Amino acid sequence: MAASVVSKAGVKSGGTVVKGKPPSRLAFERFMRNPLAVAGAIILLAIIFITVGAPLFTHYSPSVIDIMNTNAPPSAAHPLGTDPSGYDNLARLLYGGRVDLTVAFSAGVMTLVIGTIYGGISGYFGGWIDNLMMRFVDVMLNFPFVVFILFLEAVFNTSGELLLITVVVLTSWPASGRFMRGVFIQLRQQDFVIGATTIGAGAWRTIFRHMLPNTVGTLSVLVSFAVAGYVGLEAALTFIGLGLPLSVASWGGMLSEASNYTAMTTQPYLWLPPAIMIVLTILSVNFIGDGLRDAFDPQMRS
Amino acid sequence: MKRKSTLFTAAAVMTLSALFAGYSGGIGVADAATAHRSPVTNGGTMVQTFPTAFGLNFIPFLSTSAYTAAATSYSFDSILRFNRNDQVSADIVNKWWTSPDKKTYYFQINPKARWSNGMYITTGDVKLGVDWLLSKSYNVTDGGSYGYLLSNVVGVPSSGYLPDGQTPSGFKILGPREFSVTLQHADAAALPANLVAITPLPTYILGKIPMSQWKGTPFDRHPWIGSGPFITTSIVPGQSITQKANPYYVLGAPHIAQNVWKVISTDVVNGDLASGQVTMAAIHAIDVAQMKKVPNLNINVVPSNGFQYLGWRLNNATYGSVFSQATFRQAVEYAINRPAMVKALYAGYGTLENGPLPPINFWYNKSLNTYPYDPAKANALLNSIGMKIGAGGWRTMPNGQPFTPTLTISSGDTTIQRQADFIQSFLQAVHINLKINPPINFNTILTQLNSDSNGKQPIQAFLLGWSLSNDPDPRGLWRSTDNLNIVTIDWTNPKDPAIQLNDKLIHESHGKAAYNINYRIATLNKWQALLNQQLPENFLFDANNVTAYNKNLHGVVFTPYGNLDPQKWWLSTGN
Amino acid sequence: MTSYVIRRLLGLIPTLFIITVIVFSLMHLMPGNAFQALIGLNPHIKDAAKVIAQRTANAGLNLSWPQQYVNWIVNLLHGNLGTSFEFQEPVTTLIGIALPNTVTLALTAELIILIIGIPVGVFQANRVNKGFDISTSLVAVFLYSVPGFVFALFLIFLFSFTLNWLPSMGTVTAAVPWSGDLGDRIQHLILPATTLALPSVAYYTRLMRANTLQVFFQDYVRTARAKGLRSTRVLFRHVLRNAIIPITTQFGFDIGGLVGGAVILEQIFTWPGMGELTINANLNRDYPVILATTLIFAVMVLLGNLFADILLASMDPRVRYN
Repeated sequence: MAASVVSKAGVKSGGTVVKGKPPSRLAFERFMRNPLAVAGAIILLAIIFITVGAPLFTHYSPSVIDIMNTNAPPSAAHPLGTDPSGYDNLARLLYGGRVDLTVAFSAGVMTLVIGTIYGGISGYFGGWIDNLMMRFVDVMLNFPFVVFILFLEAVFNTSGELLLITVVVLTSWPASGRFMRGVFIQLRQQDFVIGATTIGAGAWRTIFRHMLPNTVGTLSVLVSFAVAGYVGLEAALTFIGLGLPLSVASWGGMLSEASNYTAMTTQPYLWLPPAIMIVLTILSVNFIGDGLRDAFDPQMRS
Repeated sequence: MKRKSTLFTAAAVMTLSALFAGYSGGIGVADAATAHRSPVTNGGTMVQTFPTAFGLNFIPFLSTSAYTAAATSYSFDSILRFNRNDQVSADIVNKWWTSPDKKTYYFQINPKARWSNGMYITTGDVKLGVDWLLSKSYNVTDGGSYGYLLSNVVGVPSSGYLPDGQTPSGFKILGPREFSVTLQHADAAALPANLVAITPLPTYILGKIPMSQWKGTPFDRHPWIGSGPFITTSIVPGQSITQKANPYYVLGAPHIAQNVWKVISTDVVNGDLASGQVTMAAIHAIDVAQMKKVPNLNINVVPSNGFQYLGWRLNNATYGSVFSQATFRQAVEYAINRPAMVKALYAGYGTLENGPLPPINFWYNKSLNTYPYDPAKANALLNSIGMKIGAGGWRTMPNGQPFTPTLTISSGDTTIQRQADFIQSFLQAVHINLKINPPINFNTILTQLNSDSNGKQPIQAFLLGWSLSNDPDPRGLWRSTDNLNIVTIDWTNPKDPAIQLNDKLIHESHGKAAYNINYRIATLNKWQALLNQQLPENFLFDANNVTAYNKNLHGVVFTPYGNLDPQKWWLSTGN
Repeated sequence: MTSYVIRRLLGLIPTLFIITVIVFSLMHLMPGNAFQALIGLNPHIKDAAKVIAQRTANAGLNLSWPQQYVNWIVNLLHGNLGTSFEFQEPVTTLIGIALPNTVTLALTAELIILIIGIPVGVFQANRVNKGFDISTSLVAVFLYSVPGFVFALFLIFLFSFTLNWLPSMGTVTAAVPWSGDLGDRIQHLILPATTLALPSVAYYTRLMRANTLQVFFQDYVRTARAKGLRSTRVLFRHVLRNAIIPITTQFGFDIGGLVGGAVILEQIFTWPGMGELTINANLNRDYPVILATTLIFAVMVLLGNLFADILLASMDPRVRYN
């Protein structure tokens, strides 16, 4: 039994190399053959483009108030109306993605990179390393970040983007770290990993070459969920008074502002556009994640 | 911008005097015409709302929650009330007079005044209410904040409280229905600001319990007896309070059989109103246009009895020399387009404020300068104090140093943030380089204000608001010795003749001579004119109270101080 | 097993110690406390600074903070969590109101999540890239893209205001004889629990689908299929058992996390719970409540994780208790 396991594992990792093309190239080709994934990538690129290139699409600034023109319904000059500060809602929508995408991107990266490395090490090595690392995750999962933000605010007399990023950095990785640990513990017991270690693969090689590709599916869900969660987070922080200043446009902020009965039922132009942008972003991240999983997952290939 | 205010209103708009004793005003009755024409029907359930949770203590004066106090005010009446013209009028007490030296007040309880179980209200019940307000348990252990109401009564030590159950010598029982209160000093504000709030408590229930145990006692958690129009029948903490009509209510048994207070978020309440699940609720001014389209609703708008202001730390170490010049503050007042702000922030449903009392107030001085929006005049005034326009187009200090004051605002309230943005743009238009600090937690702002005696805290300008009591008594807020003056604007320089005059006028406004209403009006007019000219802070405006209510509700008297006479409201059926 | 659980329970103590010490330090490094707002803004208190100092001293805030920490621990061991500065009520009373509401809501939501999330995910994987899979996947992604409060308002609008089927606020109906009956409580639970569960349902579905797909291609499943075992039997015997393992981890901290409360949903549905209590305490510097809520939240999360670890070990015989 042990011998057959070894040989299977060997064939598996050897198989890709024999074909002559580098694995990343193969993965790319597979990704490009997946229509949903390609559509996702195109939508995301388009969103990034209109967000970064916002000045190309509107001559209004998202942060110049106009007291004589507040709460205006849609018109030719303001296709989505204006908000209570007199900001043009279309400009807010176009520029707003900058904050949301930054937050989502940092959350995604933290979830992906720190979460995977942390969980991988913890789950692979086990024993006291695992124990120690998980106790630290316990602390971080319970880190009193609201008190921490209030503390930063009181001591440094500041608020805004910096605090938002702090929250992202503090809160986005521990859960995924713990989750990935569970995945790695399970993988550690799998035949091909035992096989790899038996034939003498080092710890890092085992983690990254053999185990990581098997987690892509789970990771794509974790990351797309992190992206979704942290777009909502901005709105939630605004709600508890720790959000961004008004001069910074964001989809979460626009949505949160319009989330009351009257706006929901009578002014869809206030909340529908940011909601669509958020859904599109997350949908495309999700399709890309699925595509990547299909492209990289060694077992899906066969 | 709406959701946040629910969490922060309590903190951001502070209450100068949260008397729940009486309401008053003279604004008008909900569909007064129909109220008289159509026959009044009895019965029905009315639902009103609080935007956030209420407190857990229902013995009068115990809770710090304004919502608990509102519910309590339906169950317990004080001895006197304010009518719709802001005048003290009869309630549980129906006759009262003063001694010639104006120090002793005599009261007579209405022979019809009863508890909701039919027992008569006696002077013993009044005495218990007085003892409670002055007890050590209430003032020290429970941290009660209404002990001041009786601190001027003879026999009350300077500590402001007595041992539990001890009655001050100034309170005398003259008979089962007569009592008197003697003051240490004659004070024209004593009756309307303080004594009206004395609230009888049921001796036969609370008299048996030591005051140290009142808090948390079953009667405190759920008072089943009361003297007000509606008596509590059930309480679900954090959610609802149900009250039924008191058939023995001294001002007449209510028409409506049951009143329910529900906690409903302001984000949702408009839907509850439209669907008829809530009978009456306060709504946001900017929703008025949409809510007027809802067929089953009426909208009422009354000005509020309060004001918001832009304050400057007059003792600021860096810019205090500029802030403390009245000319600078006058320039700021002219520079800000307040009507535009009211239109933008409150869809026009707001009232401009030009002095320390709002225009709706009975005592308002109608001849005040209204400081119309006039940037040219603002520029001229700033030029006149030597603040020249320097590099970059910004004004400098008279000595040529850069002038970049900062405005500190609290986080969580987007209306305040918008207000700050608008003010900044108006001041920049007159070349004042005002910067807005990142919004910070309200408690952090308080900490800075409380420790700013040297003027070196980061806070330089700020936005605050006050809601006022029925009586215009300026004490507590405006004297140079008042804590709330010191820790907000710090308009306290003893050498400033205007401040000396301010203290003198305030003193005169409540002395013995002020028992003459014309004298009191004249003094308060002078005082308002002084503050209107000096502008110790830049008075801005206040949002109006906007109430939406179902068309089947009739007879509500809407006033700046609340909705009066719930016993006269009634619900029509078949709507 | 028992000794493992005991060891892990003891292991919670240092973690709780560190968490509470962090909260304690942060609180005491911040200037000011709740009394400034409560007393400093009362125009009728003559010497506010003195009263604030007195109340601060009475609350024990003048002691050195290690001393305060020790006092807090001693009180805690006596079941005393202190008195809220803001509400002047024992913290245990406040938590006694909030915690049961939150736990009820969290458990109901968790039940909905498991009942819907796991089967849907497995069926999606079983018919991967077929109509059912694609349509439900799209719905799932949509559900977790839109913030919960948007759904909350939409559900209230639909089921309460328009159809009038379900109550929009509270845990019980006010002022009716049947107030607080089981049926009454369940009616009130439906909307908030559904709203709280929706994003997680989507998340579990996605996770379950990904896990199941991964397991499908494992050798033993292929072997089982090759041996001719019926696919439903394979699905339940071999696939589900293995695919569900990572979910248990998630389930573990979800239990803890949901108990932390959802401030916005609590406000929209008037569901007096831990979320609002916690946030209010934080914003108002109500230290005893901050400490108590942090502690309860931490204990819940840690127990949830412990529970997940035990599940993980008991479901997967290859994972040892070590």
